[in-house]
Amino acid sequence: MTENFDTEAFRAALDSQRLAMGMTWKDVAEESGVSASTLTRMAQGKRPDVDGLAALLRWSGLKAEMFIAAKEGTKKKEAEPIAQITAVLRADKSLSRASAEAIEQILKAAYKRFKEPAK
Amino acid sequence: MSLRRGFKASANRLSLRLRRGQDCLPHAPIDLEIIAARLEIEIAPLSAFAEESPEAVQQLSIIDSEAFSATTIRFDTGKRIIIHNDSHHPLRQRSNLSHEISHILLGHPFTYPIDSTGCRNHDRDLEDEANWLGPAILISDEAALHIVRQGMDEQSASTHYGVSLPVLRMRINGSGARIRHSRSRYSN
Repeated sequence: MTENFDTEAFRAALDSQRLAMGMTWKDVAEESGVSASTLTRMAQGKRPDVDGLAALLRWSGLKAEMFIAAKEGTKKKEAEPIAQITAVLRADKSLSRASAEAIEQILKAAYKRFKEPAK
Repeated sequence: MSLRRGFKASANRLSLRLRRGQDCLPHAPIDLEIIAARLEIEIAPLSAFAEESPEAVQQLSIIDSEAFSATTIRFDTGKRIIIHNDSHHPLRQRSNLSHEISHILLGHPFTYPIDSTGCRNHDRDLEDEANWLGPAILISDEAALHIVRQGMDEQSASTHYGVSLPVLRMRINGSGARIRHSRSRYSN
């Protein structure tokens, strides 16, 4: 049986909680009792060990079943963020065309510059 | 402006928590670059793109600098980059950055401006929250009370906390600092 625990979604949910509390990942490690290396490994897409997972679920109040995908391949991918931002700007009537285009150019340049190479 | 119940108190708790993370006193000024670095948010000024997009930078920093204050790009790896207009006055830049950091801390989603029926979809609530939290990060309730207690004039307080006069006044009025101060005087 292959149950897929969505580590990426779990980490994203933890990240939202961390930011909502104005905490660093180091703070999360200290408060939850997991090692900093467990959190680093999760950032690289690796699964936490069972004790680490239990500690993080306890700290966050999240439920493990929220992150178990029903079937591989059914996960809906969100649109690339750059596309969302572009849509927002194009529809903003208060922007002049020249400025809207300039913002798009900057966002595309930033996206290209900061995008991490594919793993 | 209507904020959900308890929002103002939780905004101040967040402002204090950010100060604790910097080992600052509750009423101390705050360094947004340190906050961003601690929260793993990267900050990129508009001028950093002058080489690759010279016309776009000129459009947004000289021709129409009001068109763009700041925005956040979120990558699916969780990495967040704030791009902000550094042609604005330094105090306004702090306000812009604080506003963007607030959206991130509050977990606000990116929203489309047009809804499924073709109407303008403007999420006033999210903007109201960031408009409250942004200044509250720069001047906590304790900082506002400190300004009133010390009898600091507006110019000195503005310089000390790195905020514009409108932001300063909004926080002095919004935090209830004057009322708290006069109550504490009468109770002593």
